[in-house]
Amino acid sequence: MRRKGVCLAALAFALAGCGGGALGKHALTKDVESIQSLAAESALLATQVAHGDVTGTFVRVHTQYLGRVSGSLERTLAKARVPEGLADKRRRAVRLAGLVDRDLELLHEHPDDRALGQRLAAELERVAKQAEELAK
Amino acid sequence: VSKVLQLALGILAAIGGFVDIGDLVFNIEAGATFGYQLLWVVVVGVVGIIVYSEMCGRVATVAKRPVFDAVRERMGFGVGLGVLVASQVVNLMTLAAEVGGAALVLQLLAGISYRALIVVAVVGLGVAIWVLPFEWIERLFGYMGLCLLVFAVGAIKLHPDWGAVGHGFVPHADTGNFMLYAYFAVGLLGAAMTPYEVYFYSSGAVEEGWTQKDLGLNRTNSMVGYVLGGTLSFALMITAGALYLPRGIDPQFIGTVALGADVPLGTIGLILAMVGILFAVGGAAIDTCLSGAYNVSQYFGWEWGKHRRPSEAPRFALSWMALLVLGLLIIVTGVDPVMLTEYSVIVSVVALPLTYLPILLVANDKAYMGRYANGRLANAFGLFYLAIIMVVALTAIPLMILTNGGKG
Repeated sequence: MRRKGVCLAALAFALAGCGGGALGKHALTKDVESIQSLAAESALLATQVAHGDVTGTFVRVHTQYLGRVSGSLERTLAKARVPEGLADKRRRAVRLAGLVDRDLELLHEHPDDRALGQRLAAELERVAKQAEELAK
Repeated sequence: VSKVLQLALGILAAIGGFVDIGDLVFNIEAGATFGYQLLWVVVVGVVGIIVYSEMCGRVATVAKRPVFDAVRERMGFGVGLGVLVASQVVNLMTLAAEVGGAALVLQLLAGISYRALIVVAVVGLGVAIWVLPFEWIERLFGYMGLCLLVFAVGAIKLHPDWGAVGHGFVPHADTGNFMLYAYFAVGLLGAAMTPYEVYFYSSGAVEEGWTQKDLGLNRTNSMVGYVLGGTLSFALMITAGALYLPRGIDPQFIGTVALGADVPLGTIGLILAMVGILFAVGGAAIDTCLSGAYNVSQYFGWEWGKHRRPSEAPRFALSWMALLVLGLLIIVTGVDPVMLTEYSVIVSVVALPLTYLPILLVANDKAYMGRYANGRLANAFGLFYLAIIMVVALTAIPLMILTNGGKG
């Protein structure tokens, strides 16, 4: 369901023009929760890669779908206008979305690399925790 | 063996109805959002669909009237036409979503382009409907869909809190967002009692030439099939409650559903899950495609049936082919199949009373049914579920608006 939110956020951004749409506290928190969800799911997938318990094709395709959402979130958040009090939260959210996006790209390119999977699983778990803290 | 093979109609109707692409994601989302709290809704839905499937199977067997015959006769031409249009819209939305779902699963299995696989899925489904006899469609898609039982094994291996699972069968709402809880409850009920299941099931009873001797088979079919479908719903919700809820994962993709079998069971679990999903969504696509052709043919009094050659029932054959092509045209626009089917579930809920009321009226009519008309118990259950369906139909759209399409 959050993907619909991401689509709506992207649409709102497009309608608001290239200057970026305005983002309130609730919408920003929802986006951070989406980042947390994506990071946690990507960590789970990376763990399966580390254990050699998943097919390379599945990893390549699924990371592509997850990456589309994380990339869209990163771009939308980077361009959105937020009230001054939320600027730091938005900046940290953009950084976390970027980390998820980068890690997903690595998994996409190396779906059979177990050592990389282990490293990315740990990193993505950390990102998920940071996003959880940020959403509070 | 032949007794087991005879259960294929109920199994296909239930698997196609309970675990199509929308239900897969809806069940997983319900579990990931509310844990095991909504398990009781599946029980309510399973009993409801058993009651009405048994009824419409009995009507089709005794009075030789599948659902849309009854709809036209009992609701009149005008209202009947409204029901036909509404049900065809929902059928088409669901068919398009299932075709997209099949292409998504094929992509996860083969890694080829999604758009190319949409065409592959449509051609495959068209060939299956054209070439295979009705009984073999049931068996192939129904029994291969049973690979989804891998989720039941996976759910056990995830070691959920069984006390909490048991508590989930008792209606309760331990949440700060009751509207969202109600939205999921309505969606799960709508998904369990989706109209195309009974269109397909009753027409299938006529296709298979059931006679009064087969009324026992009808009862067994509806019970075994839908209990199996319900079991798969439980398994998906428990998997999500144990795996995704504690991690704060909001499942959005068909790949996330499959990952639920991969984590506890490894690659073999993943492959079985994807094969099961492929045949379940393929079965649902055939259910909806044939249901659409059954409905329009029965409403206008055309010759119909898979057991007839296309030259004997040309308008029926053209109807299912046209629906398949329309489904293809919708899904190649790039619309998200998961989102499409979630909306189709909610929209179909509004059409539920107009589908189930005529079944209840005909099943109760001694002029048609003679000694096989509803008894007191069947009527009590039928009326109770009709009341539930009315409440669900009235609240579905407002809840979708109030919860922002389930976003909360």
